[in-house]
Parts: sequence; C-alpha cells; structure tokens
Amino acid sequence: MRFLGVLFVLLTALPLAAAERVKTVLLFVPEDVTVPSISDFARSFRRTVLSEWSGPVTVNIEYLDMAWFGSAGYERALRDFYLVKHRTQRPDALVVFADATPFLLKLQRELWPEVPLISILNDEFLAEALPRSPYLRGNWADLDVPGTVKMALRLLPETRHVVLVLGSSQREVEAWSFVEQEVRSAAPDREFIGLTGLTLEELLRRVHELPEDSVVLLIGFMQDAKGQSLISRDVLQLLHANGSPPIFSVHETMLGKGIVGGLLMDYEMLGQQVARRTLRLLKGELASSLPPGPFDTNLIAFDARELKRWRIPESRLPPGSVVHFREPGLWERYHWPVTGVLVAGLVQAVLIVVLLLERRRRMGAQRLNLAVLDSLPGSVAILDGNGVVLRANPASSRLEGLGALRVESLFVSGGPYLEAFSEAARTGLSEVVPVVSLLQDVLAGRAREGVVEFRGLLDTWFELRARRLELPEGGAVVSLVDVSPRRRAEMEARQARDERAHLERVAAVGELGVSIAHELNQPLAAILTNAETAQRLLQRSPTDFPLLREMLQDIIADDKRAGEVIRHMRALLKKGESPLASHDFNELVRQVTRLVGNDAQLRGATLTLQLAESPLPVKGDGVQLQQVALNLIVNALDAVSQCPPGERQVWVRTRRVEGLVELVVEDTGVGLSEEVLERIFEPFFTTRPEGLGMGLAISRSILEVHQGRLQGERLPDRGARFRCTLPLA
Amino acid sequence: MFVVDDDPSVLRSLERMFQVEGYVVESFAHPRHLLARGPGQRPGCVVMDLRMPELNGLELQEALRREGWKQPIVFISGHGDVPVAVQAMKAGAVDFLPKPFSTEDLLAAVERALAQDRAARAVEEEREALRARFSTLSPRERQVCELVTQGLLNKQIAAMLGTAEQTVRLQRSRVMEKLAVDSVAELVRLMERL
Repeated sequence: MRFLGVLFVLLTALPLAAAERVKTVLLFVPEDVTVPSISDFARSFRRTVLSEWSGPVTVNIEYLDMAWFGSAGYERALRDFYLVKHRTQRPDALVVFADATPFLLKLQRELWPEVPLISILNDEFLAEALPRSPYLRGNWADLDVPGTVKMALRLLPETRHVVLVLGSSQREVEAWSFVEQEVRSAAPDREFIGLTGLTLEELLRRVHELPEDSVVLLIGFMQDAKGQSLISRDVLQLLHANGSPPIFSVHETMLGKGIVGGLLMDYEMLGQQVARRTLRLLKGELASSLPPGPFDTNLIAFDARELKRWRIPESRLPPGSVVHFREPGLWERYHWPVTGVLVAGLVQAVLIVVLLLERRRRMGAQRLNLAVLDSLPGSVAILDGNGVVLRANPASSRLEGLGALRVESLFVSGGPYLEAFSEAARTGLSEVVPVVSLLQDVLAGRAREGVVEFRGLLDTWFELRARRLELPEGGAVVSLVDVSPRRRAEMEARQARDERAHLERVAAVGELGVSIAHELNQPLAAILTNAETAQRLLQRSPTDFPLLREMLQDIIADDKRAGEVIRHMRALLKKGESPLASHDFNELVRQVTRLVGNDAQLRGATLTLQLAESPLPVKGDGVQLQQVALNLIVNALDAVSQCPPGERQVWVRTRRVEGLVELVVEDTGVGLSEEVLERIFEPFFTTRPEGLGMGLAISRSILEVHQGRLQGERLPDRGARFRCTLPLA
Repeated sequence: MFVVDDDPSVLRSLERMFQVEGYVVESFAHPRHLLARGPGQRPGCVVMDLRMPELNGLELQEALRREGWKQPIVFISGHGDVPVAVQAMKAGAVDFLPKPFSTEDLLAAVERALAQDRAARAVEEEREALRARFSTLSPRERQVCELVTQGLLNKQIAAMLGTAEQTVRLQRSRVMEKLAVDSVAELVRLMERL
C-alpha cells in the first residue's frame, strides 16, 4: 500500500516538476479570520499575490488566533502542529503579521531556516529589535494613536475628557500602558479616562455615562473581563447604539460602523503592499534586500453622518481627508429621475421646435415658435441638411468678436451658416477650421453631437455646440456662446501664479545677493591677480611662457565660471513660462546648491548633498522646479541659523521611488510646531520677520502643475523635513 | 608667506603671484591644514580669506594666536562686510582687502605686514637680551634693583632688608655694572622695558 502511495506521488509530481513548480506563500496572522481587519488584510494579500504573479502560486493562510487563546501551552501546541503540517512542503516565502512574529521566528529557525520571511510589526522599535539575517526583513505599520487623538481634539476643541477603551485579551492588556502613554502625551491638558478591565456590560454603561464633552478612542476590544471573545467592530456598534460621545479609532474597518473617523490603517492597502514585496521574494530576492522602514497605509477618513451629528464642519478637516457616507443630496438621491425628466424635457423641446417648423411651413404660424427660440440662452440656430439656417434666435450683440464672420447672416432664416464658417476658414481665420469640420460631421451624420472651443478676434473665445436632428431630412441644432470671460479668468489666474512665482524668485535671489556677490568676486579676484601677475611676468626676461599659458587658461576658466553664475541668476529672474522640457532633476538640484553653497558657508551651515546615482528625468519648467528646490533649501538654512555652530546641518537628497522622483530637504533647525505645520502652506504665512510668506504656497502650486506633491513634517528629535515628489518622465 | 583660501583658483593665482614676486609661499586650501602645520618660525605674513568652511577668518585668527603664531595677518574677502572687517582689524589684522583687489594693493599690504613683523621681532630680540642680562643678577641684587627703581634711598633699603648701608651700596653698584647702566634714570627706563 505504502509503496503504491509513493509511486502515485512520484507519478503526479513528475509532470509538475517538468513544468513550472507551484510557488507557495505562507501567511501567518495572529487573529481569527472573523476579525475584520485581518480578513481585509488576508483577502487583499491573497488577491494581489494571485493576480500579479505570472506563474502558478498558492497562498496558504494560518490564523493563529492568539488574541482569544494566548498561552504558552497553546503556542507550544501550535508549533508542534505546524511542524507536522508543513514538514513535507517547503514554502517559498513566509509572511507574518504583527504579534505572531516571535512565534514565527522560532518556527523559521526550526523548519525553514533559509526561507525568506517578511514581518509586519506594530512599530519601529519592534522592527529594530529583530535579529539581522539575509532571510528576514522587518517592516512596520504604525497605528497612529497620537495623531488620531490630536485630530479628534482639533475637530472638537471643546473636549475636556479623552477616554481610551481597550479590551482584556492578553495582548490588549500588554499594550495598555504604552497606548495610555501615547494618548496622555497627545492630550496633555485634557482629563484622561481609561476604560479597561471591564465586562462588556460595564463598558456599555460606563461609556453611556460619560460626560458630554468627552471623546472616545476605541483601539480594540477583543475580549472582555469575563473572557468573552468579541469582535471590536461589533462592540463599536453596540457602543454607538447605546449612546456614546463621539468615537474615534485607528482602523479603517471601523469606518461606517459608528466612528467619526481618524488616522485609519487601511488593511487592504497594507495587504497589497506586503503582497508586492512578497512577489519580489518569490523572484529570488533576498529578504534583506527589500526596503526597510514603515508602510504608509494610514488614511485620514471620516464618516459624514457622524460629522453632521456632532456638528463638525468639514472646513475643520485636515487637507487630504476623505469623507465617506455622505447623505445623498436631492441631486444624488433623485439623480436618475431628474436626469430623465430633464432629458425628456429637452427631447420635448426639440420636438416642439421641429413640429413648430413643420407647422410654420404648413400653416404659417410663427409666434410660439419664435418665443421658444428667443427664450433660449446663447445664440441658437436650427440648420437644414445643407447647413442653411431654418430658424434662429436673434444674434446676441456679444458675438462681435467674430469679426470677419458676418454675424448678421448667421442668425436669420436662410442664412448660410455653414458656408459663412467655411468662407472664414478659407480666408485665413484658421481658428474656425475645427468648427467647420464639426458642422460637416454632424450634418453628414458622422457624429451625433460635438463641442468646439475656438478663438475669435481681440482675445475673445467662443464655444460652439452642434447636435444632429434625428429627422429624415437631417439638420442640426447649433448653439454659439461667448466664453471669453471664463477663458480670461483662467488665463489671469495662470498669469497671477507666474507673476507671484517670479516675485518670490526675485525675493529669493535678493536674499542670496550677498552670497552671489561673493560667488562672483571669487573668480574676479583670481582673474585680476592672474592678469596682473602675467603683466609683471612679461616685463621680465626670459619670459616664462609655460607659466603664462597656465595663467591664461585659469583666467578663461574663471571667466566662464563667473558667466555661469550670472546665467543661473538670470534664468531664475526670467519672467514668464519656459516651455515644458525634459530635465535631469539631479542636475537642477545641483545647480541650485551651487548657488546657495556660499550662503550656507556664510551662515556656518553644512550643506550635504546626496544625489541619486543615476539621472532622474523629469518633464517640466526647469526654472520653476529649481525655484522649489531653492525655496526649500533657503528655508532650511534659515531654520538652522539659530543653532549653535557645528550643529547647523542641512541635507539635500534625491532618489527614485516607485515611478517618482523624490527630493528631501532635512535640517537640524528649530523645527515646526503643530500650529506652524498646519498653516505652513497658507499664502502670506511666515515665521520670519522679513519673509514674504509665499515660498511654500507657491512651491506647492508649482508642484501641483507638475503633478507633484510637497509635504512638510516635524522630525522626532528636532528640525524639519520637506519631501517633494514628481512623476518620473 | 602663508596663503589660506578655500577657493582653489584664487589660491592658485595668489601662490603664483607671490612666487613670481620672489616670496617663499606655503598655500593651504583649508584653515585646518594651516593649524595642523604649526606656527611658522621665520618672519612672514599670513594672507587669508575671511569666509571659509568650518572656521571663518576671525576664528582662524584667534586659533592661530592661541597656537603661538606671531606673523601678522592680511585679510581678503569676497564681500565688504564692514562690521567683520572692523572686528578683524581690532583683533590685530594688518589690513583688509575686498575681492577683487589689485596686486599692487596686496603687495603693499604684505610689505607693511612684513615690516611690522620685522619691527616686532627686533623689539622682541632686544627684550630677550635684556632678560638675559637681568637673569645674571643674584636674588638679593634683584631685590635691591627693584627697591632702587621704586626711588628708595640706600639707607631705607638697608633698613628694609636688615643689612648695612655699606652692603647695599656695594650691591647697587654691582647691579648697575651687570645691567650696563650709568644712572638710576637709565635703570628705571630699562626696567620699564622689561
């Protein structure tokens, strides 16, 4: 029997081995599958691995269920169980989530010493504590408790009590003191209430009796004091239904079940990111070559119903917030019926017009027909199949920018509408060429409808819409609207932005004036000395020609260097838009640092440049991008000028991250307070007495035009970090 | 001639110019290199940029003095910040030339500095000789010498030291002899210079 079994295994295994071997990924999660965050994570992990791996792959998930059954004996038994279960099958990659890590490290040592393992931990300290090994990479995904508390207080500034709710499972008990500390330090001037070690009934009662000016932070409630296993999300729903002050949390899975919102861990996104790294392991990469550091999977999200219930205006939400569960407005709620009515109305209107035309032809009745057309906004004409006007409302006087186009002929019956445009196109008004082709397409039945925006005389803009009449004899309804005001506003906005950017550049270059003078005086001094020495040398005999040649070469080199400085300065001062072009971002940044290098020295600061090794191609306005870099670096230099000498450090780094180009400017300066950080991108906000306060606002809008982003953050120790990203060209 | 400038092309041009003019030049691209070299012994002059990495000119000036450098300093600078110049001159700099400067001006400043150095060295040498002479006095003779310069009479000195007036007179004439002075007035002037 046994022999037969082995034979069977061999026979079935052979063809598989000849083809591609099925890869196996083993995912260990600490909780039960019914925990929502875990199921989100596991589902998205599995889906991403399966859909993005080119060959055959299996994802096995082991739910360790440690929250509800956490004991040393249970762990031993689990170990024995997996020892037996996976003895014969060697996985290709291991992934472990949070608290299951210590257990899995033991398992890896015993069973699969050379199978790569990714561990997703709760914080940086745990990741740092992992042993170093080529087969292990620890990343972390922070639950941002302090951030959520601070945000809750910002949304509800009247709050006097901050309430922390945590369950009684082994792990929750262990986490308590750390989380308590985090909450207390994020809300130092509010009263702290800790709700832990309670039964579910007690919890419901205590929360119900909380003072009105409280906010509740529900981190988790996996088990109550009686040992009853629970799903935190169900507990949340009970609390909400039973009457509770506003509740915040840090899990995205809670959104929509009664929390107001928070900095929420998106477990689906996390699963996706972890899966992508796992795929790299499957391709044969070492675990240690995977990127270290945190996963950035926290969202700022809110529940619109809760915001409304607690009267929190959306203007208080931080930028980048996402609001879900909006109460549908009239339009959203009756979207389809309203559209239906409108469409029906429109069809009816067209029908009426057509019928009226018919009627006019037969009966000569005109009055109603005219009234309908006249009441339409814009200049509307109904054309027959040849593009001749059947009927039109009187041409509005606002169409005068059409110049050579004889407007009066466009809006009278029998007017040669199509012909007039064709004529204009032929005689040089090239802007109307697309209008002609649209009209021809619609009249010939090649298109049902279309819109063309075109330029008239004297800075005027028009929009022409044509829609085919579904009649046997063809024809079209055409409307012509003057859209110059809108276009002009758009252009003015753009001009204003360029103007402001230019101003800011002038100010920045002005601030750098002293440093630029120094930069120019260096080569000038060398040139003068060399030239005068050469003069003296020429008066002697024998003349030392090799030395003379050397000096002349130096003079030329220094002259070029001075020219270069002036060229850069002029480029920065140049007004107006330079065309979008390809640039090496490294080179742009290097030029800027050359310009400010001296300024840094004057302030006794060390400017450290760490550029990516390969070029970073970007597309955009080089001068404006340099302005962003200049602004960030000058700000950093300003920030460190308060520090004692020797501690004035500024780092400028560029690198390539996942299809993006990143510039990071970091300093050891005074740092940013929470208030400053919030307002830093507002126009005219500045912390410097002589500052314009436009630098960061403009930098951000420049980056927006380039599809980039700019963020500022406080560093844990001191100083600030600004990070800007741009798409790779 | 010691030249310090962090700008390589300025440094090279100065080095060349001084060589052509016949000076012995040592040049340094970083203030730390000059400090590491140790104080120069021969008469000379330091030409340095006011604005350099890590140590600026003023700090270097201070550090050189501490290390025992005696050579005068001529500052050159890429921008004319007057307050720093004033500070440098107060701290003993011979001159301050804004870049770009004419070679003539620099050479003139350097010559002034060298003259100053030479004069200072001459004074120092003379003082050294005096000190040598003074050191040949016995302890008792030094006491007598000091009391004489304070303007006391032999009698008073004898009373203070508890010896005979005769002895004091003898010691006093030995002092005059060893220090090679002829009158009390001369002795007083000499002691002042010490």
